[in-house]
Amino acid sequence: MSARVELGLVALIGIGLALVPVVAPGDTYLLNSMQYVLALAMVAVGLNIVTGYAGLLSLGPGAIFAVGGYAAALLVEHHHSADLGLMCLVSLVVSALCGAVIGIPALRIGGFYLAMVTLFLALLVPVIAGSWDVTGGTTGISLVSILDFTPRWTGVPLYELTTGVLIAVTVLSWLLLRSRLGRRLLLIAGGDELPASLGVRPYSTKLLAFVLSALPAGLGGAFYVYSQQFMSPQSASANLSIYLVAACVIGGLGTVAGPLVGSLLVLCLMQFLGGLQAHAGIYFGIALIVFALGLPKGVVGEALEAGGRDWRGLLRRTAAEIGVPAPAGRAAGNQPSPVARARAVLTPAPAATTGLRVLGASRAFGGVQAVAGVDLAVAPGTVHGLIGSNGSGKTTLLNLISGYYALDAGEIWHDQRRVDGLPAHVVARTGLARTFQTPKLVEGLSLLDNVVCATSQVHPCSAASSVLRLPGGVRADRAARERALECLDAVGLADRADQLADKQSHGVRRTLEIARALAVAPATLMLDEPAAGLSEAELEQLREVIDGVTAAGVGVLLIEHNLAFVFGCATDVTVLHQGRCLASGPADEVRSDERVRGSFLGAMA
Amino acid sequence: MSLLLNAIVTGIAIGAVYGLIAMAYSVVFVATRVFNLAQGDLVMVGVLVSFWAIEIRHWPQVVALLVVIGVVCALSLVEERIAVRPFLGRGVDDIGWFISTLAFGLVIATIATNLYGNRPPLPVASPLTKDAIRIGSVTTTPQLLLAFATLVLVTVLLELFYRRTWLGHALRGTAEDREVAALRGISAVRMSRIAFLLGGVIAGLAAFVIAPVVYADVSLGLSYSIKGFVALAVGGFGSTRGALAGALSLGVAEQVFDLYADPHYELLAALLLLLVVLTVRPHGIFGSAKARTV
Repeated sequence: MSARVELGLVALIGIGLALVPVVAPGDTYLLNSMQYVLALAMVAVGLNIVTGYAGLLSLGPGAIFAVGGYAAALLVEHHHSADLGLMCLVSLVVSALCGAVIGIPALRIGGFYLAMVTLFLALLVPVIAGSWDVTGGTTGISLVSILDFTPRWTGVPLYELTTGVLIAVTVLSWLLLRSRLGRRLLLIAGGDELPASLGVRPYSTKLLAFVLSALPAGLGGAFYVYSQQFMSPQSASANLSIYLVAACVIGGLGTVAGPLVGSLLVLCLMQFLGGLQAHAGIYFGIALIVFALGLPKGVVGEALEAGGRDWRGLLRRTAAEIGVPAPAGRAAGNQPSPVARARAVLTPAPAATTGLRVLGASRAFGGVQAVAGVDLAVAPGTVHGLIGSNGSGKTTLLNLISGYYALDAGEIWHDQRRVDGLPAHVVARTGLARTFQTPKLVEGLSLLDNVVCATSQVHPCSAASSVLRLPGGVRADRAARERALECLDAVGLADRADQLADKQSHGVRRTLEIARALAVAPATLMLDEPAAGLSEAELEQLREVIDGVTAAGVGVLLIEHNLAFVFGCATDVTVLHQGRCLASGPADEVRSDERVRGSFLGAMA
Repeated sequence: MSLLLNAIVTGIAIGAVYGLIAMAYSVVFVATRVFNLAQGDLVMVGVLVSFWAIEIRHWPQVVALLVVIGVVCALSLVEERIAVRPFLGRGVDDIGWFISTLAFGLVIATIATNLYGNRPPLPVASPLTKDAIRIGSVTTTPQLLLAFATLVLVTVLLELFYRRTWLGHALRGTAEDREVAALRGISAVRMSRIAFLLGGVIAGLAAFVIAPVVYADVSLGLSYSIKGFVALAVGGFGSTRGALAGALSLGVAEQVFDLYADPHYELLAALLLLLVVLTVRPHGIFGSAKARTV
């Protein structure tokens, strides 16, 4: 519901802005100042996409705004007949290119570097523009001095158009957040491992987020130039970028209405501070520290939460709301067993595979040989238990298989394909799903949406058709949602589908990860300590889910400390000790192996 | 040829200025994993205080030096308390400190601008002679030599400090693993305070030494921060030698760029250097890739 609260807020702001000329008729100074505010608010909405949704700190929104603005101004300088539409188009293209050029190198390293490189550009662009003849040096480019150029939109109509475009951009950012692309951006915000494990390529997703955020910035540049009739280095000083970041933080990063509210607050204050403008840095700096420390969700985020609605709860939609029928036959009594349900979500079973094979895998970190010459095979439809004391290399082996680390020696094959050396997301796409020792979830999303992040891979459609709610996108998203609900049902979480992930117990979070792993319809499933911290009832449920998974012909690699649980469901067991195979073979043999009993099983035998 | 040689020598000297700023960054980063975006503004404030103490109050150089270090240290500690400490322990993914240190820098830069008033960037008198030093066809100034000597001294002392002293080990260890450090009785909060104190001392010293070279200019804080970052990124984060190498490469790259391209676009040299190095060696000259943990 709060999704609509936010959208309502955006609509209210739009109406309020549209009424400004009515309230203060004929006040051209006010109108002109507001034009400036509206153009920059577009930049803030864009910044929110990369920093608020995708969690990548960009500190140079002003740089891209400046590039877009100069592109528009140069267009008019050379083609006096250009109109606003053409200016916007050119700005959009140039700013998107600029975003890609900056993003490609900066995103290779990590978020930290993106922040610094973008901050650098915020400083650099005005300096370059101020020295370059083409951009008019320190005086910049004035459209007023181009006598042939006659703007077709002026005064109130231009103001109303700008308001309309700003609101449209904001609504688009709302649609984006609630689309599969938006969920992919939210996945990215939590680090590279989780998206890669679902087959999402982290790097290109980040780049896309950065380029998407450049579009509104370029549009803002075009509207700025058209309404203010000039572009100069002072139009985009480094401090402007910092104020735009402040606007987003104060309004609420990650919310839809936040950047709008924040930029109206900050920029209107800037515009109308009068003599106090020289001290603006002090006020906004202090406000920024206060918000970063105490109110990290910003005005809008904190208000939504105070109103009992978590800000990302806007993504929440109950099954009933979207009209997904509860899985058939749920009346008490004729409920299918968890085994059958788990099996059902994996049917039709993936084409016959050869399973997972690890041959002589080795990896050292510094002087520590974490994994040394380990062989292991997971046949389709069987459970392979991987046990060993803490630090014996189990999780490292899993990470090697997932493609998070490179092997020093050895080979890994999955489904007749050699996967070692492939990027993690490509490994995942061969049908290899996994869970994490510490569950990795998108905290602000509902359980259902967390699983939808994964099922979207099974029901593909173009990102654009999902964002714009085209028929194909709507169909694919509905199918993804239905499948997600089935997966939740298979692990017994269907009744919590619309609850938020960060409000759940440890056991539920672990189980949710399994539902998500099932959702990609894997050929092999790797579970990292799935039973840790589960209650007896939850353990029983987990056992049934694993039975259902193997019955569907999927292989399971199970890392677990609960030995009774492992020997209860594994066909084969491998014991690791200090990175080496201590024993490997059918569960019964390993269990009675003298060395294993002596060194490891001891108490249990 | 002698032009190029001159550019390289001047580059090394200018690089020494960046190196001193980078060292202040590095000390804080090594202990807290916080990249203090207000560091450049702290140096800028130090330069302004040098101007005030020497040009307006006409205090002796030694007194001025102590006042500069005192003011910068105090600011650094205030920043640590307000803008950094609340974020320590919130996890490495929390980028709140990025925003709060940036905001702190904005606040002190605005205050400094208002206090300095409408003066143009003004020179600060050097205790040394202004006469150029000539060695063959190469010229440089005593003040730049002093900056270089200070940088070398600071680098050597820091390396010894990290290698030989308990406190140096503790500072390094805290950022590696806060929990293990805590188990050994090392307080992360105390280490953070010490790191900012040490960072303040180096920033103050740096400001005093470079003041005669860079003039009192309130607008330079952010570019100091950026140059310091480029030096560290090129050299490799967390390595003292890396900071030294990165800063000197940056200085030389800028001077060579000025010689063969256009000095107006000097800032571009730093960006190009950064992008080239990151493409070839993503973790810097002396840096090492860290293993991922899941």
